[in-house]
Amino acid sequence: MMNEENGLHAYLRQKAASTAGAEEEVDWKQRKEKWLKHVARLYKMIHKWIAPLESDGTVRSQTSSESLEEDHIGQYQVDVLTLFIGKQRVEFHPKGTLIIGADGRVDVHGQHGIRTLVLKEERWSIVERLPRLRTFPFNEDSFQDVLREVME
Amino acid sequence: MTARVSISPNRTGVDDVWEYYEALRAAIVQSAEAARQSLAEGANVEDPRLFGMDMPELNAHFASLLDEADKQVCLFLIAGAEGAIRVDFFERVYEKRKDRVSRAFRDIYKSRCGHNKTRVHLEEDILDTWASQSQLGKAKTAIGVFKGALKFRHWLAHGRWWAPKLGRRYDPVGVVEIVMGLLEATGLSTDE
Repeated sequence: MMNEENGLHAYLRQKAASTAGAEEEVDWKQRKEKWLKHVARLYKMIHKWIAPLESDGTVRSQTSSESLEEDHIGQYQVDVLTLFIGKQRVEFHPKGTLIIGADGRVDVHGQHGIRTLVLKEERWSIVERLPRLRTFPFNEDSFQDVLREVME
Repeated sequence: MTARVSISPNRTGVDDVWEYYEALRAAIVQSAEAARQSLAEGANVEDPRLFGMDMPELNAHFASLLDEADKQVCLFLIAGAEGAIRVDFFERVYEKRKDRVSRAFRDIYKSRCGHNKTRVHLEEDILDTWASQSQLGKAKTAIGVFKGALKFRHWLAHGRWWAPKLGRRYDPVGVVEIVMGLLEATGLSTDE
């Protein structure tokens, strides 16, 4: 007969301990707050870049709210930024903070496509998947590229 | 004298394909479990192909990999059975066996004289001969079911560019049963 202490019991004890340890390591409330703060910072940055265009009426912006639900964090509200440019609209939809390889993700939806922004080491980057995965900084110049790609 | 078809020793059998399928499936399931656990624990995942995915996307990604593995393995299984059936055809012809099926195959082979002898048709020449020569209803059914699965095989092998009307769903377990049924009906089953 199998020695229970070396077999099933030991395995389950080890599994329970490792899972419990991992749960304790992450402060999910803090992670959510940090994530939402970075989303707000992203929108502030975008508003700064489009400020002259908003002043002359070329671009109009609107912030609405939508619900997200993530493991460990639960349901919460997040801001969606919409830019109206002529007859087109570009929407920034936060996807969540439980993202592989990043601390958060926002998808930029336009009439002609979607681009992905990720939060990594406190900075926003654009993700390009083909021909191979790479990220590059999200700044005023690359913001223009993103708009061009999702709108054209 | 007409040149004989050169038979390859590197043919795939049901056992080989199934072993590959189990290894492939286990690897995908293991990767999925590891990635899900890491994501749930807020830990990093090294695999760059998964970068930027959230949990629903991760689940969809691995479900798609498993589905693709299923389809590829179905193709390998049906193609392996086709190989076994075609090799059996040429062995019966070259060895001049005396049974009814072998005689019928030889007539088909002779009728192709002056043409490329490898252009023996799987369905009309080989499977239909097996079905017409077989005394058992069960064998005729097994051959008919395999012919149905060939539609799925053609769709997979030709790039899936049309919407197939298959009449049933094919998965690796079901395809193994179909292939084993065919091999049994044609006396090629290795499970005896």
